[in-house]
Amino acid sequence: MRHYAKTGLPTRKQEAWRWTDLTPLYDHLGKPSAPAPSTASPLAGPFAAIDCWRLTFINGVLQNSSADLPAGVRAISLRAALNEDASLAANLSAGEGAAFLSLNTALLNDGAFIHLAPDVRLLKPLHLVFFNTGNAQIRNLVMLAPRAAMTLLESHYGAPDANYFVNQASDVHMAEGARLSHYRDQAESPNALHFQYLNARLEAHCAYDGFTLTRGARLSRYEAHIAINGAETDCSLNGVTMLDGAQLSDTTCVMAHLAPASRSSQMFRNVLAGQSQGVFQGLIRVAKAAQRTDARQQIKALLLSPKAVQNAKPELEILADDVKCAHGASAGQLDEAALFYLRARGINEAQARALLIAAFLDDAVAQIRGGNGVDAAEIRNPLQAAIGAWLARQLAVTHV
Amino acid sequence: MLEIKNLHVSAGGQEILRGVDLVVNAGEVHAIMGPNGSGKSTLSYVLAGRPGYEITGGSIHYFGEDLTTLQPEMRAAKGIFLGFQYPVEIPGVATMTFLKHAINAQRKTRGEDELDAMGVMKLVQREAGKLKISADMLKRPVNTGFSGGEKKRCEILQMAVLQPLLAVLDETDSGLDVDALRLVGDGISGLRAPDRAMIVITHYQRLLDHIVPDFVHVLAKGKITRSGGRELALELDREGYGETAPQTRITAGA
Repeated sequence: MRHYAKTGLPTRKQEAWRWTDLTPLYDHLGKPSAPAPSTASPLAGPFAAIDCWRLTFINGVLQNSSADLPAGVRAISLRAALNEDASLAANLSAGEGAAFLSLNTALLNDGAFIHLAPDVRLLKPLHLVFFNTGNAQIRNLVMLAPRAAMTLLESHYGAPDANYFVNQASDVHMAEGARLSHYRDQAESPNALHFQYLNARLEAHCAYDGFTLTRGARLSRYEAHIAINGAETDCSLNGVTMLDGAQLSDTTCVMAHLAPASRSSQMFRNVLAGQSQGVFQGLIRVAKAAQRTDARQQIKALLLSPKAVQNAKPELEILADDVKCAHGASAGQLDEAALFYLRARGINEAQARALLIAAFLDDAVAQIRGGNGVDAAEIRNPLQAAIGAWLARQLAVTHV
Repeated sequence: MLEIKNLHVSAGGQEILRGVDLVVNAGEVHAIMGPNGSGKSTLSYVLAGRPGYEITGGSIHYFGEDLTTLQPEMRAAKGIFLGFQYPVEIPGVATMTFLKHAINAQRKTRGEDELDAMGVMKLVQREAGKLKISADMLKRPVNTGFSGGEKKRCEILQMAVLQPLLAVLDETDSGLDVDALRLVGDGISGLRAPDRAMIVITHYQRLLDHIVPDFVHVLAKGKITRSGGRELALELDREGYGETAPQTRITAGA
């Protein structure tokens, strides 16, 4: 709380927040959480049909336990874990200088503690289901010991008419040789405010594969701080954002290469309708020691309406001299020549638009690698279906 | 089938077609030849309904119906097919998926039953074989990374599976070597039918060795300046467009 008291909430005068107006948040501050329902609405969305272990949280409070987890795996409430072993708190980043993280640290309700012992490989995903009806400060701690591997899924959704503020932070620690596939579906209710702060630290020979589908919440921010702290590590961070109406979604990433010969790639595809606003801020930082880094970042936005806006700020900060870095940012409309080509073959305009947009977004979906107990197609197919359903609604077509 | 009367078309504020008259009946093949910039491609785009072309005068009737008010997809469903001079690359959409969408979209608009995946596959594979289009190519995104010859073969494949009544082929021979030209030429020729008409737009007569036209027209400066039979194409090939189209440059359109 000390950190938060010192920094307060950020304003647009601060560079890291210059496009994201937090005014809607003021209504929520200082208000107690509404009483939580005893059961969550049925889970829908892309991960609902995947065979996995599930932990369900209502407003950040764990509702069940997953008793049949294999040996060497722990997945319990963070509070319970801290009660058992207070020293675990040392693994939670305090959030100095980061208002939402320090707010989370000060007020946290609960969240998940996941620990995999060395060499443990999960044969099916672990799914964290976050159902929200009221304000929640959620904290997750994920610790993978050397060579441990898993797929972690997250679904974020809420009661359809609920007006709430969720501030979630996740600390991810990957020891040498650990592998994590981390796929998220952010489908919060339309009035919600959703803040997500990922703080990941990757040692040598790790592989992190991240994907976020952002489609919910009135205002959301996904802020990822990834420190690649060991050599020969692969980090892939991708996402699709689909916004409509007055939605605003901000993706802010700091990819820090601190050790030699690691690779990172980021591919984001946004499609913006109505008066929605997409924000992307991406910094690739390559320390002097991080020679032979290969880092890529690409953000492309499709604007479906003249009132939709995409702001993008890609940045490179390179201190090493033997590196490959590439970044690109663009925003534009659908290719008219392609649209006419499809129409000239008999595909109606709405359907042609839907096909082209789906293909555009698929660039990012295709980055999902799978492995770690799940096939890429098991993740990609339902994500594509969710994207198709959104497009079908948006363009009033029957299917995509 | 098609009746074009005194057609005037502008694009980007510049008049490109300046009074085109053309009548095409079922079963006929018409070749339209002419120098660059004479308005050949504009004519093809106007028939297919491409946005951005303004009809400032005249009329186009197709089976007696005013064509100019119809959306491109409606024209396609009614049997009009445009073979593009420059087929558009569509990354992310597999060729087979695209064909399935196109076939079923047209069938749906016409009130016919849609084909299932197997039905589409059989139809496509039968025609693809004739054009030496591999199964691998059908998996690749539409026109993406295709060679010039592959793109044109794929246009003819689309024509073969969509079975149009009026095919407008815009410089389908451009960019083809001799072997590809034979494949494409024979492909088109094999699609001649008593109920199907074709307008073959070309710069050179060589495609017309494979697909012998019933009529040849010269389009110059936005008007049809001469019409004749097969022999006109041969004459133009020998003597060029010099006599029919003085060396005036028209830069807009193509």
